[in-house]
This record gives sequence, C-alpha cells and structure tokens, in this order.
Amino acid sequence: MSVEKSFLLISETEDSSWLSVIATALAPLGHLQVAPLSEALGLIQRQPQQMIIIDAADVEEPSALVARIRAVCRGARVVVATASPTWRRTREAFRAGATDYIRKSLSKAELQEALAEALDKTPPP
Amino acid sequence: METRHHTARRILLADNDPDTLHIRAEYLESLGYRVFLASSYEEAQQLLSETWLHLAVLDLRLTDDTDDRDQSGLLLARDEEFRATPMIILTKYPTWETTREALSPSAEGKPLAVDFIDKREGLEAMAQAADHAFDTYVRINNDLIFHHDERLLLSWPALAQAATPDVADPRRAADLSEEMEDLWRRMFYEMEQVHLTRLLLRRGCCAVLHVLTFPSGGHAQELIVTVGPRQVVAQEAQRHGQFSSADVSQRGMRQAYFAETHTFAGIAYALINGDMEDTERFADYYRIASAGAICQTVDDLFGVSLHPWHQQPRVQEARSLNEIYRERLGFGQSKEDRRPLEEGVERLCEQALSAGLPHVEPTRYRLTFHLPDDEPLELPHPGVFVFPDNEQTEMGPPAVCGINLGAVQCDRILVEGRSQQTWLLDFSQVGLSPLLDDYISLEASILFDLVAEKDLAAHQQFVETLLGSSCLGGPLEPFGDLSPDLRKALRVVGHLRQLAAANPGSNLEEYHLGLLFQGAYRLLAFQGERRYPRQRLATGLRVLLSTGLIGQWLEGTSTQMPPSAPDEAKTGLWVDEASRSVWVEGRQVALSRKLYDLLMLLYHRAGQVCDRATIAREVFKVEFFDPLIEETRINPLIGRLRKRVEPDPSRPRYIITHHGVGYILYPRGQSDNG
Repeated sequence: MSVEKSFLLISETEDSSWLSVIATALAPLGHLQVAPLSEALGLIQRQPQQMIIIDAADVEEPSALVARIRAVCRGARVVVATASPTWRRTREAFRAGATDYIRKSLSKAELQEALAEALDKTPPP
Repeated sequence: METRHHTARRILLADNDPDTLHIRAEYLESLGYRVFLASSYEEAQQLLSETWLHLAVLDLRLTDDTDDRDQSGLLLARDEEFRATPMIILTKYPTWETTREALSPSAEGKPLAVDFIDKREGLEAMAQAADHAFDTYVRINNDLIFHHDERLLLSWPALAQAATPDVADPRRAADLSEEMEDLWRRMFYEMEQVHLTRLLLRRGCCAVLHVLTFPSGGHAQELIVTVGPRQVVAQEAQRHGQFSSADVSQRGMRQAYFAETHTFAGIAYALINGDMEDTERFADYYRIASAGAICQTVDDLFGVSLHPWHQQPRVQEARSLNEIYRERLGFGQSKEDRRPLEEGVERLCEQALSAGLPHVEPTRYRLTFHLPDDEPLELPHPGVFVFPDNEQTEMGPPAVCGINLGAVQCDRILVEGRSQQTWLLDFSQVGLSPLLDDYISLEASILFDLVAEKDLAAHQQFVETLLGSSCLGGPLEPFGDLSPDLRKALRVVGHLRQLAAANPGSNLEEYHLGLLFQGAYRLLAFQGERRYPRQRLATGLRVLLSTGLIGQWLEGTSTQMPPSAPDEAKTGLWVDEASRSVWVEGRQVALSRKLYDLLMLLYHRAGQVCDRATIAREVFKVEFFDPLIEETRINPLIGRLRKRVEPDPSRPRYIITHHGVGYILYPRGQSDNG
C-alpha cells in the first residue's frame, strides 16, 4: 500500500486560477495543502513534505525563504514558482538550496510535467 | 616522517575568446591558482580527460559565440567521465533556462555546475565563485598533518606508484605523487592529524592500509583505507554499498569516507566493535597457530564477519556453474580462450622439468605425472572442465547464487590472535556468485597457497583424502602417514567443509568444481615468458596435481552407466573390462593404472584371499617379497583404492583385510557375502 505524498504550497492567496491549476496538476500525485508564510515553517517542522512550493509572487525574498526552510529541514525539496523568472533570481534560489525553479503556467499539462520533473530530483546536500 | 604540504589549486579555464581567456588566466594566476588553458571544446575535453584538476571554469559557448544553441560548456559538464571535477559556467549570454539547467540538481542530487557567472560581473565574481567552490566542493585540508610510520612503503610517491605502475616519466610521477596527497587531504578534510601506520595488503594496483585519524579535540578513530586507481576503488565502494547488509551490528566495516581525484580514489572503512591492535594476516597466523585455534578463527570468519553477507537472499541463475566461474575468474567464454590455460600448464611443466622437479606431460585432455618410485599417473587436464567439450562435463543449470565476499583468501583476512576475531580487507569482488564461493575460496587459498608439502606423492595422498569423503562435511580420515602440516590442513579444511555443509543446497560436486576452477585460475600465472624460482614451480605442480585429482573425481561422478550393466553395478562393485570402467553403487569411479591393476587382481579372485606376496609380484612386479614393500607400498595403495571405491573407507565393505594374509574383494559387499 503506497503512502499518499504530501505537498505544501506557500502562498498568501487562497483563491486564484493558478492555485486551482496546480491543485489539479498535483492531485494524481498526492495531497496539496496551501498555507501562508506565517504557518508554513511550523507545518514543515511537524509534518514531512514531499515537496514545498514557494509562490514567488507572495514572498519578498524567495531565496531567503528557501534558506530558512532548508535550515529547518535539511533534506527538504523546495521549488520556487514564478511568473517572471530571471537568471539572477534563478541562481539565487539554487545557491540557497532550491531543488528547482519553475515558471508558473496555467497549462495543467506543463505544470504537471515541471512538477514531476522536480519530484525526480534529489535535493542538494 | 611527518608531511605538511600546500597543494596549488589547479583550475581549467576554457574560453574560445583568446582575450577573455588570457585576462582571466592572468588574474587567477595572480591569486595563486595553477591555470590550465583551453581555447576550444576539444582542448577542454582533452585536458579534463588527461589532467588532474580541482575545478573547471567553462565558457558556455565554447564553439560559436553567435549561436544561441551552442551549449558546449554544459555538454562537457554533462559528460559522466568528468563528473568528479566541479565546474563553473561562465557566459556573456545568461538566461534563466540555461541557469536552471546548469544549477538544478539531478536525481543523484548533483547539479551539472556548482555556479553560474555572467562575464559582465567582472573578474572578482569569478574569483569569488572559484573560492566558494573550493571551500564547498573541492575541500582540501592543507593544514592536515600526516605521519607515515613506514616511510618507504607509505609515502605519497610509493602509494602513487603502486596505483600507476606503468608511469615512467619522473615529472608525471611527481605530479601523481602530489595528486595522491591531494586525495588524502580531501578524504580526511575534517581531521587534524592522520597516521598511516602500516600497509596491510597490496592487491593489484590497490594498497590497503591501517590508519588512525585524529579530529581536533576528539578521539582517535581506527580505519582501514583502500587507495588505488579511481575506477577500481570507486567500483569497490559501489559494490560494498550495494551489497553490504544493513545488519552489521556485531562486527563489520562501515564506509566512513570516500574521496576521488582524476586518477585515484580512496575509501575508508570504520571498524564496528573492534580493535586492530595485535592483528596479523590469516596466512601468517595459520603458520603458527594450532589447528584448534585456526578452526575457531574460521568459525568467527563465517559466523560473524561474513554472516551478514551470506544471509542475503539467494538467486537462481540460468547459467551453468562453469559459465559463472569462467566469467568470475576471467577465463573468457569461447573455446579459443582455453589457450592461456593450456599455455600456463605447458610453461609450468617445462620450467619444472628444467628445475629438476617431477616430469609432467600435458596433452590437450590429459596430464601424465611421472612421480618418483611410482607408475605414471594419468589425470584429466583442468581445461576439460573449465572449457568442456560436451554437456556431460558442463555442470548444468540452474546454479544457485548468493552474496559472497568473493575474496576470502589467506592474505586478505586479519586475525586477532588472542580472541580469534577476524576482519575482512577486500570488498572489490563482493556480489552474486555460486553459493559456497567464500568457503571454496578459503579452502583453495589453504590448499594452493599455504600447504607446502615438498613430496608430491604425500600431497597426492592428502588431496585424495580430501576427495575421499562421500558428502560435503563428511569425515576426512587420512590413510598412511601424513606430515603434521598436512594433518593440520586436513583438520582445518574438514572443519571448513562442515560449516559449508550446514548451508541448505550445498553440494559436493559443485564444491569440487569450484576448487578446480580456483586451481586452474592459479595456473594462468605461468603463461608468458616470465621465469619462476624452483619453489614457485613446486607450488604450481602441487596445484596442477590437485586440479587433476579433483578432475578425476569429477569424471567419476559424471558419466552415464551403460544400459547393459548388471544389478551389482547399481548396488555393489562392477568392472566393465571392455571399457575398463569401474562402477560402485551406480557411480563410476576413475582409477589410475596401478589402482586399476590392483582392483582387477582382487576382482578376478573375488571372494578369495589374495595374499600380499601375490600383490607385490603382480602389481609391483617384485619377485622376492620384502615386508618393507608391504608397509610402504601395498598398505597405502590398498588405502587409496578404498578411498576410491568404499563409501566409508574407515568401514570397508568391498575390500576386506584378511589379517596376516592379504585382502578379499566382495563385489556385492561383505554383508551380502556373510
């Protein structure tokens, strides 16, 4: 019997079109929980997550949050999702310990592919 | 001898723009780096392949700066051959996609590159990235102090030379020596001091050492360290990690550290529940310890050290045992591959004859031993079994395999004399192999490497005693006088076989086939032009004789009974004189010419006493009977015949002694004849 995977999306928004797309994209893979930043770190400490997704639109410094999450949970698989990726922010995220950095997409198939690819990656030590 | 050293940081800089290349190279050199330059993809590839480097800084577009699709720098980073070298990607054209591709970790957690720099960020950004890469990924402890207790054997040049014996150029050798030191400074990055105390073993190009490490303010840790060529040691580390059982709670070796450079790799094993003080190699311990103590050591070896490995699940192979052994011992699978073994046997026999040792005549299928004071002894060539011509001699599938260490040899096990505790030193061959491979490997090592009986006839008697048991683990009772050394070996091997027999599925035929292959493998060493000293040749002859006798035993167990055979062939003793084949309880028994002559003398007088004088006259062609002949020749010959035909030679039922007179043969067994 396989254990259902648990995903956490750190977002201040509870209702957006992107949110419903990502929830649909992840449904076959596991259970998605959405939490604001104020609750996220506590949740991560209490319950292991297969993947933690940071909505870069809701976080001032995503790389700093990546580093904080990794400090709390060393092996965490952290993915930064952004609508407007830049190469510098990409580098910052990976330097902070992110496992992946993806562009937000409203296409369920594209998002599913990007997230599945991220799940295949092992977080850096 | 103490060494402290600062290795120069070696960095590859690759850029197809010559101005950029030289400006950046000068800057890095001013910071103390030793810089290797490449101005094209091909040059970078060659340097990565041939040069010891700590770090590589690669332009993203190494081929064509105007081509958006040119990602030749990333192509190099993706090459598995160069994965051990951390890489930084430099570019004038960064995009988030290429940054992601370069820095995103793979399924193994390793990204293609450790950093990504825009050329427009300037020289300092590149230097900072290189510095950070050295601190995080290269990690060489230049302040680590080494003590080399055995100066010559354990120096960096000696260890490097052992791993790369074909290097003659002194400058290259000096470079390799520095690279070897580099390896150790990486492996023990967190330590303050490391003592290389003694060389435990040299196997091929690898060296196995006993090492003590001292962290800052911490306790000493004892380690076994294997260093050697990168691919060889990395493969050993991978095998150990893949096959080591999770349960090593009693005593074992845990992988503690691993490091690799361009040429070398090193793996350090930590001892679990152990202390290596006062240990010696099993080979040295064997020579001085009593048989009882050695048996206790063997108990510890298989009951504790090897136990976690042997408990892992078994697998039924589709291949025959012969195929598996040929592959495992590197014989090759085609009939042409037989030539090295034939050549090895031929060269051994030629050199042995020149050295005044007994003459052995090899043909493609047979060996004829001309032992002193004895009739020629004809035995099968080991090639008959290593490369069978027919299916009858191929040990057919299915072969059951399990996880074995694969290198259980007398010089690769350490023994603590007082407690008889054992330690394993070689994990390079761990993996799936035939069921009792480790038992066979140790017996072969004792039989072929440690037993050094000078008298070949005595050695023959010893091996025939080993082959005389009807089941694995059965009693091994010597006939005639064996020397104390042979008696000791008999007792140890007997004990080892009892342990082997306790494994479900153990099979004497398969065990003997494994021994034969081990002997044949040792005969390969004699091929080629190399000449050997007399002692080595004598050892080779003992191995050759042993494989012949084992082959003879195997021949006796593998031939079909003729359909016309009478009942006593299946229930008693029967000789088919037309084919000169001897059958005992359904099993064909191969006999030397002399044993066959003796048997036929008794067979033709079945149920009647055949006196000793007749035996002396008919078998040994002696006209005047001398009691000394009886003691030195007839009794041992009767003993050897009983070994071949009696199910239990200590309780004969076919060849019965008529005390004071001679012997009687009962073809149906004594109990059926009253």
